[in-house]
Amino acid sequence: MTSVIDIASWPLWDLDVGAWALLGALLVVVAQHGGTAGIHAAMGRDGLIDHRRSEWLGAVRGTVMLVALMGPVLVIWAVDAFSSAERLDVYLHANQALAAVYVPITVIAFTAFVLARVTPWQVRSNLNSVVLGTLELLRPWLAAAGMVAAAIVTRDATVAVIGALGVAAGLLVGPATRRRWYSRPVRLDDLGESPPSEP
Amino acid sequence: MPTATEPLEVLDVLWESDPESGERLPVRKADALERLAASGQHKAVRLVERIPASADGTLDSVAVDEIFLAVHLELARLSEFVRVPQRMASSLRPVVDRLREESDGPVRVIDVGCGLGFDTRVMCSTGALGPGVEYVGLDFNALLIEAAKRLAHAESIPVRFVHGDALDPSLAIDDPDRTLMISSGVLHHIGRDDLPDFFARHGEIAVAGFAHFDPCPGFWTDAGAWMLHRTRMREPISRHDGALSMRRALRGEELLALARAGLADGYALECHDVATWYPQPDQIVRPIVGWRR
Repeated sequence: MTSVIDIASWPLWDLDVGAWALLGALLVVVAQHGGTAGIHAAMGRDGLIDHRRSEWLGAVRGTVMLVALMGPVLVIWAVDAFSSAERLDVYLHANQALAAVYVPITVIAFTAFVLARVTPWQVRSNLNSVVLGTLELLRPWLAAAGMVAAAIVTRDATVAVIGALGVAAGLLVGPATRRRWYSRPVRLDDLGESPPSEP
Repeated sequence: MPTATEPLEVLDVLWESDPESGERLPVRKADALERLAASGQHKAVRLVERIPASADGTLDSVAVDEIFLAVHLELARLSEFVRVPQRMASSLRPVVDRLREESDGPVRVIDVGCGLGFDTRVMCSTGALGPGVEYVGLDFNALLIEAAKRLAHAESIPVRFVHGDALDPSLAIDDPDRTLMISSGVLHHIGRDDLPDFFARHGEIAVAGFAHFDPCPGFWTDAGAWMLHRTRMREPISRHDGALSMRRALRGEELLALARAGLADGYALECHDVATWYPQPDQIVRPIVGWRR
């Protein structure tokens, strides 16, 4: 058993490129979730046609909230995963199961998102509603499906518990971001200054 | 206004204006609750029960303002997501082109019941209907008009927003021959009983044409609306009213009959329902178009 304090002894450093790539892909998926949840929390409050600024701010806030909520789960994960090479191996199997569920969905969402921005408005309307809207509706179930897949593949109770905590923390990012930064009702003054009266 | 037995949207019972002056009138909470209870809308009753009231029993105007802004801001965002302004522009462009061919001068597009004016602001800022088009938004709700003015000012979009009766010719119509009346999501609010009069007013003013967009009822419209309101809207009243508005929408044939009842043969009318056996979010609203003969 390795010491969690002794970073140099972590089995993480012995991982091959494939395992690192998988870990990186999952981190991208998780970070994307935080940004998206933040954008959703921010949307529908400025009324402007161009709201890239508020969306960026929402994405940053969602990511911050994601780190705050998932940070403790990550620490618990690290303590268990880095305790031995055997435990890390269990988590690598879990990662494969998570990636099998999350990565294709993220690729579909990302492709639809990009296509929606380069295609005519009719295609964008359909992609937004049919693909992105449906994925958004299914988001909690898809998140849970990844966790269940990881638990089934590893047959490990700790993985299941940490996975459940991670999914719960992830799903709380949107509501927590709204509660922290976007709970105040919008008032007229938030929409800009009143224009000068017409002559 | 809808009759007492027709389902009401929550926003319908939260705002009252003097029909003559357009001035906002206080709304008694008990009256609002009674109207919803009379149509058996218990969920809507619960939503209104949460709104604070003053000691005299009238709904707190600040709370109502916040609800109106929240719902319409979310609605604007949903409109953007489904590309409603682009949908409207694609149908309006040939109508505006035809007006241009008939005579010289600017074409005025008047958005009736414009709310926050999102659709007109998008069409104006993107030049979606081409050059020489003036945009005016009208609404009976002074709060929404003030918000629309501020939003247009913030992005320097030259749309004029006016508070008042949208079909009062003195407010925005200079030249009926060059005027096109439009709306989005307004017809189902007016309701069956009042739609013939609404259309008849177009004939009295003798505007060159109109194109009023409303959801096309059907399974996919209901299902899509439910999904989009679940995922894109957070205000419980937005979700309630959004889903209900789809169910209140009228079929094309019925709209045409009501328009004919008001306009007789004064206008050539068109309204095509979209196919309902597969989802078409880009056609979530479709227009009834009228041309003065």
